[in-house]
Amino acid sequence: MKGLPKNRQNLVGNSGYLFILLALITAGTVLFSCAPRKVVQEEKAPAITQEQRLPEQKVAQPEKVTPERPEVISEKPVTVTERPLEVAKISPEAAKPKRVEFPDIYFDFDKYEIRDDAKPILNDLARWLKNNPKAGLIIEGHCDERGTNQYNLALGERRASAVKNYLMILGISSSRIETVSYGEERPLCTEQTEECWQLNRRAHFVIYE
Amino acid sequence: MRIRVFCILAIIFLNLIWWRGNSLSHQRIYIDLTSPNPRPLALGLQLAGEGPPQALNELREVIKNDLSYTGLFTFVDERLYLEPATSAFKPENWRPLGVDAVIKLNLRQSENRITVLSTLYDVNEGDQILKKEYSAEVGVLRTLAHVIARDIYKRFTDRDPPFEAKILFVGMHEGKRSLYIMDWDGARLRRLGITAETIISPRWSGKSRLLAYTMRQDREWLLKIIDFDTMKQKTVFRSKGLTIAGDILEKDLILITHTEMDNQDIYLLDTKNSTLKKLIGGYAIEIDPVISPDGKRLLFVSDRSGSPQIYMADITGYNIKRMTFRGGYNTSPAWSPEGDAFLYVGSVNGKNQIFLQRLDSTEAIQLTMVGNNEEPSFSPDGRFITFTSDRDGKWKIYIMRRDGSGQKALTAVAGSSPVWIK
Repeated sequence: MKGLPKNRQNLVGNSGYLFILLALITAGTVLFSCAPRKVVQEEKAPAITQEQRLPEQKVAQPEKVTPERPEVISEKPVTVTERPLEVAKISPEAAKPKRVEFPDIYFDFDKYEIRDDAKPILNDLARWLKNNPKAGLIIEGHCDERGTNQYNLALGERRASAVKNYLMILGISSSRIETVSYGEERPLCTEQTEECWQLNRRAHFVIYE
Repeated sequence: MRIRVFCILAIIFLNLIWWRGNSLSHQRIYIDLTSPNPRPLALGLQLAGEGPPQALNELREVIKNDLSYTGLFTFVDERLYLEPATSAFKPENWRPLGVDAVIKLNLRQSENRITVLSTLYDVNEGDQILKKEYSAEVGVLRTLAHVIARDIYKRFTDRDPPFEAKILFVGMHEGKRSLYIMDWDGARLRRLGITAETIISPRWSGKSRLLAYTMRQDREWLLKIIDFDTMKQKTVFRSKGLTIAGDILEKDLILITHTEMDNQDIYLLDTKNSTLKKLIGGYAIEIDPVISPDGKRLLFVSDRSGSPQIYMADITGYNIKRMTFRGGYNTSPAWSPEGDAFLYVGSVNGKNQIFLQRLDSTEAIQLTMVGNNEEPSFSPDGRFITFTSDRDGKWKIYIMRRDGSGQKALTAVAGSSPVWIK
């Protein structure tokens, strides 16, 4: 754009009159092509205007909107997706839950340290596991609803791990302990009160043989 | 002297011609989306031709909803129109109404196909600025409407809107979790046919057209990838310890949160040979990795400071920098498509709210106020945000504009983890 007028001045210097003639023709063209558009436009039949413009704009390419692919997902080879899911229950080798139950232990908000009020329960649990060497333990970590889903899953996992580590310190083999986090997905109660949130911030024990 | 005057005139005219030619080759942009508050354009919309009345109505409503929800367009009340729908466009019929542009749609229907000729007029210039024909089966009328609206939006802004994008989320089905997909306006809700006790963290890669998600099955965490070109899925990783899909980097590389030795860290998973490379370690919880649009950096959540906060690191895992300092519970980061800002969820008076923060700032703008609001995600064009909210009693999928305006529920059913698919 910057170079343009300079070029044209050179042109004028070299062959001035030819250029003026060109300029006049251009001026005429511009005057005749621009001015009537503005002034006389209303007299033109709009239909004709449209027909004239249509080919030059080349915007009338039809676009096919094809039906969308049906969104049904198929699994590749033999997969496990369609198998009935039994996450809530105990694994097949742990099919016989013992009737023995230990109370849940509780945690502070956004914390996974074992509280002092949980230690007597864990001590009892460790003693029972020592006396029943064939028994296995699943520790479920749970959270209240206030956190966000993914962070709560991590927090629940940490709570379960903290319990496992405590039991290991008391001499229980890690091979007997499995941990699982449910995050905030399985609340015991759904009111929005501190009492309810406290009930949900828990580790739950499932014992099997 | 006279020659000089002529020369100057000639130069002016030539420049005029050059300018006109230039403006023709580069179409005028009516709405500059880079300006902070573009003035909305007033539109008229007229349908003529044949077709079942409810189909005509649906076409009209979808186009109007798409365009007006952007906040960039308003529609002038049809009862005020002077020009019959079947008449040719005359600018003088529209100027008194304050209409900036007129959309005229002409429909033809033959058996099961519908053909629409869409013409767009600039009232001020009296010009036709877009003309295009579309053809579709009657069954995909809404998609047809989104495509027509897309072209109109694009003609005015020179940008792609998300009208054809889909939103995928985790919903409930017979007491279990299931993946659902719907249009960006919440219509045409469909189930993908995947159900599990737990489904979390769907992540979409537009580049490779893959969806990664995480499910739990038989007390294991499974990372699944669906190829949206073939609609087939496979399990790429399984683990007893908490493992959650993060963003897909490329076809065989995915960021994950994974638990080793009771410790959640961020890894790069090569799905071809199932190898893990630790990117972000340490004894704290490290989760939720999201890759920047240029692939060079990631945001993640860590509680290394004693509370969950958003951090940024190079893709190598080095140069870790804390990004959030406001409040004691900040999670769920999401990049803007431009890579200059991110969304996150922060706790305010015990409620989770969505914040928008620029990368070069520690200040954040709170976008939501009512109830709990979580899981924010930017639309592909960066002008809209989906999220979940419990403001009406149950967790549903919501949408808002980038500035927090226009918040509305997209679903009547319960849902979580919305992501944009485009």
